Amino acid sequence: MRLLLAEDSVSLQKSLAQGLRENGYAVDVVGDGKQAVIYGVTTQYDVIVIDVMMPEVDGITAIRRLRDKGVTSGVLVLSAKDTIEDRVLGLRSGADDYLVKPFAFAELLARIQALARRVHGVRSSAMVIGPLEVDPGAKSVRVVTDRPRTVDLAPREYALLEYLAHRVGKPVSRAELEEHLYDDRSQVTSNAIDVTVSTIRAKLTQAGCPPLIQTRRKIGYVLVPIEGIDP
Amino acid sequence: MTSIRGVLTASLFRTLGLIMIGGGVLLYGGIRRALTSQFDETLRGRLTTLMAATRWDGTHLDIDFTGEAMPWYQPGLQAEYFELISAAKSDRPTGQRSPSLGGREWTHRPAAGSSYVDDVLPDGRRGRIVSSTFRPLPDEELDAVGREQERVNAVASSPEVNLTVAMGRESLDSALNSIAGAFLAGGVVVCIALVVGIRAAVRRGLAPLATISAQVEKIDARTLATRVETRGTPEELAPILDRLNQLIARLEEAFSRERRFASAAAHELRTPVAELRTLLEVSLSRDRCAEEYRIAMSEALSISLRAEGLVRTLLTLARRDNPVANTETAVADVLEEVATRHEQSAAEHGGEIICVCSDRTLAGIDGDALRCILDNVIANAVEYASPLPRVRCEVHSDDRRVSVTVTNPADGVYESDVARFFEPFWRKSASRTDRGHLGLGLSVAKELAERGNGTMTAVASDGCVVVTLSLPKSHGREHAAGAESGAVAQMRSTD
Repeated sequence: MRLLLAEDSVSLQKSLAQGLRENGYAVDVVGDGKQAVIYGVTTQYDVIVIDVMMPEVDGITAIRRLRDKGVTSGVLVLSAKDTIEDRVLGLRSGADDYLVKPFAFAELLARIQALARRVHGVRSSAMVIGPLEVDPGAKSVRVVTDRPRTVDLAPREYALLEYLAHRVGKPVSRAELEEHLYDDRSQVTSNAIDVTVSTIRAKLTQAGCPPLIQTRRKIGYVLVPIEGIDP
Repeated sequence: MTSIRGVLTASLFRTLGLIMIGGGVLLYGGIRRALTSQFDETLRGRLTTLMAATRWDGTHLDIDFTGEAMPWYQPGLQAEYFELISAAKSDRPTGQRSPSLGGREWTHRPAAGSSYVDDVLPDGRRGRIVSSTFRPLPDEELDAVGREQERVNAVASSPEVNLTVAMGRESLDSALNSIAGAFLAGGVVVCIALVVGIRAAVRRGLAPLATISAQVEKIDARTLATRVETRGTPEELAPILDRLNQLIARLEEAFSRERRFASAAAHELRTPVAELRTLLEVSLSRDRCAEEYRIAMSEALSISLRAEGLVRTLLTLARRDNPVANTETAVADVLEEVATRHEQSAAEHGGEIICVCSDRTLAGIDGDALRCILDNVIANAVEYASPLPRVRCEVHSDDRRVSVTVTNPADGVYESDVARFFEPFWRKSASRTDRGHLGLGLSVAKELAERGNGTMTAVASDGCVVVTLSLPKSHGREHAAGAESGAVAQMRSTD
């Protein structure tokens, strides 16, 4: 899942980006509202985390511009402004959520996950696809058969599987997966997605899961419910 | 504590009481004189009647007196008295006496021809006595035809006689006592009425004070927008209320400013706290190598130092609550001192600081406050000058004010930016956030200038930013020291 972090405090940029990346998110970082609008329009982010008081263009104006340009990413405002008026203004400008500084990092993660679920139209926290259970809250994957087993995935592998789970039944191109799994600073090899999918398949099979991830030639990959598995 | 109501009541009662007593005494005196005069008129009438009735036939002195016509001269409780005596033989009456005198003698025989006197009557009563000396008319029988010569002789031999008439003054004293009693009783009633009336009048007169007091009592830190109602206020209180409302307005502005500042400070303190918390939470979220922890600790230290700087600046501002306009300071001296301090910083960035300090006028401001103001302004000019920190500082003055202008080139700074220069925590660019700048410097400087009765403004024109500090001129003499120093004190960097 790819995030845009717009925050003018360099220290907070570093810490948040590190924490989010360590939790499997691809994070792009910008330091002002003007850049946030450019990044938000040119890249399809799942969630945009944006500060209010920023140079050049403030966060509220940036959100309005993003919405005016049709950006549908979930927007989480991160601000030290804590009055009711400030929150109302932020939410009315087009933000989906508002978090006041200082905050618990775990709460930020939870809100980002909730926003991502909302963006992808998923209501429950855990996604169940046949015997496969993907829990974004716990960042865990389980295969529930006669002998339920937890699948140990690397953060990038988990992120890919979670993205496919969000788009269950819909083919996802390699380019889209790359865009959502890697940020600007990642070095992406041409077969990185294929290698990751292969690894996930192997781990799921080892856990007793049927082959839910299927390849669509010249399109990409799709995670299908168990009834949709091709014989 | 003195009570205005008590003082007013006592004063009014004392004054009105004295007026009432004085008036009462004067009125009683007038009535007494009038009644006594009336009494004396009656006495004079008695005397005149007896004088007209006194006749001299050439050998005998006689009063044509009959007890029926003048019953008051008969013996009795309210008897009146008269006595007619020869003036030449005053040792023994030669004329007539009123039957009421009988054989009694006067306690003090009135002097002949004396006026009205109060004395004790022969019967022991208090009375009023009048006497008169005159020559009696000839007997009426001598007016007959043929007795002309006798009449002439009687007139020629008519002796001087002394007639004394006395009346008891019981009726006069009774009337006077009744009037005095009425005055005393009326005085007591009037005094009681005065006390009640004065208290009511004072209460009514001071009612506006009670109303104002009730209104002021309701004003506290949360309701400083309230003003004391001035409509219907007595004109004597209007100036006080105006001053009071002005004071409340100043308090409201000060409270509002403090709230805005506290809010901005609290808001700004959230950022380093958020930075620190996120850094620590992320760092502790998993096991890391020693190097990663070292980097995190270093970052935490950096954040803490920045937060410390913020707190220190806020404390500086809070401690500047004392008035800063009570002393005088040589502006040029402080400017040169501060400029010297920033000379090296400007030089490191390839710039210079030029000071034009020929004007040695004193300003009415505390030296430390002025130092703090100029330090912030010049540090800001050096830091944000673009492309190079070439900063020009100049002192000039007129009859009333001393001004310092600090000019620096500032590419990319617009009027819209300048308008926000003095807002707390405002920064032009995010990249400067982590260079130790809190966005408080110019705000602090402006606050201090205003506390010193000065002003601070900024304009952007022709690619330059000009910050002007204007301070009230000190009433002291112009600063002599250094006046002879050159027109331009120039400090240039050494590359």
